[in-house]
Amino acid sequence: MKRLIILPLALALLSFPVQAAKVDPAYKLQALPEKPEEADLWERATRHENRLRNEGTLFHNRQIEAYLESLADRMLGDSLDHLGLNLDFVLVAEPHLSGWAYPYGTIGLHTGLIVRMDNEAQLAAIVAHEISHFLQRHTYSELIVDGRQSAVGKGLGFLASLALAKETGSFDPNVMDFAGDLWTNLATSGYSQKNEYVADEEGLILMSRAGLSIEQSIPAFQALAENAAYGAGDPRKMWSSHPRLEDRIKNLQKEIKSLKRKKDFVDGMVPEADDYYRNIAPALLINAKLDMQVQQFVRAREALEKYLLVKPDDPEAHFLAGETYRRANPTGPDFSEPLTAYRNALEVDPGYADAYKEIGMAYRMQGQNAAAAEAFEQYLALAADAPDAGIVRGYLEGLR
Amino acid sequence: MNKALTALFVCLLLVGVSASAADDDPFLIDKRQFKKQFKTIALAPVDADGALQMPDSVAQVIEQEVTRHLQKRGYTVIPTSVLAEIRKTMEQQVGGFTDPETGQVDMAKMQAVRTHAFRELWFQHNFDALATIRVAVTRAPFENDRAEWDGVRQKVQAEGRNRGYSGNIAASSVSFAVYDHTEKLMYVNYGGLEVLQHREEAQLLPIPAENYFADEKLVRKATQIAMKPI
Repeated sequence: MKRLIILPLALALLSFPVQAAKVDPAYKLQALPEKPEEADLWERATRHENRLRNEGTLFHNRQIEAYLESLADRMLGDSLDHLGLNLDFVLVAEPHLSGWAYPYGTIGLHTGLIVRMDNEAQLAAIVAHEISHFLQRHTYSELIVDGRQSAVGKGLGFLASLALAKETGSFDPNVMDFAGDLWTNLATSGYSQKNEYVADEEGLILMSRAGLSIEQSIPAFQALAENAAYGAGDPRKMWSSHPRLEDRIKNLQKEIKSLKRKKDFVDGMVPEADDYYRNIAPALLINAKLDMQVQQFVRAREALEKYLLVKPDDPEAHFLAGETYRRANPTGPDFSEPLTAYRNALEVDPGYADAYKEIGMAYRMQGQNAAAAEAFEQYLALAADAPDAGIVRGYLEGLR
Repeated sequence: MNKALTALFVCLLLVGVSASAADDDPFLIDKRQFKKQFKTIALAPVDADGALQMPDSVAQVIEQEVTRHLQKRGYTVIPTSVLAEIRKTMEQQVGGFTDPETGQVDMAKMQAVRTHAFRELWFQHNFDALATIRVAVTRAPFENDRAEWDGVRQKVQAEGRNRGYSGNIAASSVSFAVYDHTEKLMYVNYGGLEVLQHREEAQLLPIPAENYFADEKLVRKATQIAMKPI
């Protein structure tokens, strides 16, 4: 008899967490947010998003936002129309690779992530993954329903602030200041492995619905794994460590095989890289500048090369390509690569003064004084009032 | 606010702090590689936060200490005067930083001189790395009128009964940073210099700026701490 009592009790205890964690996906509901505590979560997330939108790092570019919105539309169709929700995107000018989902569907993306992808399908893999977190209401289920406390060092500040809010009935803005910065971190690498797998797998379905090859999710996630160390010292680093991502890539490979075996499954296309670069061109240029600020000259050059494929007439991009060579090796002795890039800038815009200045500096370093003087003279003819014109005149006098 | 939750939150913050402190290696590359790669180090003029009103004599003491330490460790040092002279010449070439009519500082000219001066230093002198030295205001945790930060422990001057107050107090530290030729940070370390506030009962009040840098031994010690791992 005793055993009979213990058994149902044990079963009840075992099944409790499963029942507690049960959260229906967004498309199964008639209204969102479902409960007051979810509404509360949305409100806090909105506060964070608004703050982010007012920060200097916001990258507001209607061309890229519209492109992302149309990509999301192709993946979602009319599945959310009954909820009256529109997926929105917030772009942040940051070179580290990061993406996250707010619980009401706004997707955040760093420019660093957008530019590391090589075609639309790869970007779609990441966006679809984040949309899936929203569709499955993972933030709500993990933070509120599960009350998961396992994200120490990533999002615990946010969990602690939620717990404080529950206790005090009001949200401490100071805690939010600390925790808010970690929102995005929790919302990506803070999810449980199970939920990451769910988002990865549902992401494949969304990709195929948009007519994109699901196999492109592999290079997309491999790019994340390869770049996991980039910005590792930054608390805003979003993506999990290598082993975890590698496990997820293996799981994705299995899932792709399984989907392709299904009779009614039709894989989509691999879009042209050039079309993608054209759509994200402003992000390529701005992220190259950001990478240069943190001495990531090879990354910057790769982004500029993609940019120049679709915008070959932009003198600034040619000039910046030259700067990536020059700044990586400022004392030479070989200046042929930066010189070529500066000349390319002048070919598309003969009035691009800075290119003349850098040509002069490169020749001066090599002791080719006549060539240096000629370039400096051209610089001064174009930019006589530049802040450094006096210094360049000083170089010129020294060369004579 | 629930006390247990407050304690938890404070503990979490502390865990975060101690975790980052443990990872606080001043070398951003392997130390042996650093020693192999950098033989000649040029010094940028010693700088300080404006609020500290650092006298030139203190900058000289810090430079002496830095030079002595680096030379003892086998490095060749290019003194701060070399870059200072280049900057001075370039400032004259751009006609000064202040607009004579408006009295406003021309930030674009300042930036131009800064950028060109570094490049000129590379052009004129064959060196491997550039070091910057700065005295800056920082926050020091204190408890029972004792502050401890950046490798030092100092008494906080106090009036009134010690009721076991704790928190953060303003202090200064010397930072020493080394950059390679691409301006990439290779080394950074800090040495605590002095507390900048005193306690009166439960209040922390600023120590007058004229009293800063009064003890040369503290200046030398802070510099030595910042330099020690090199």
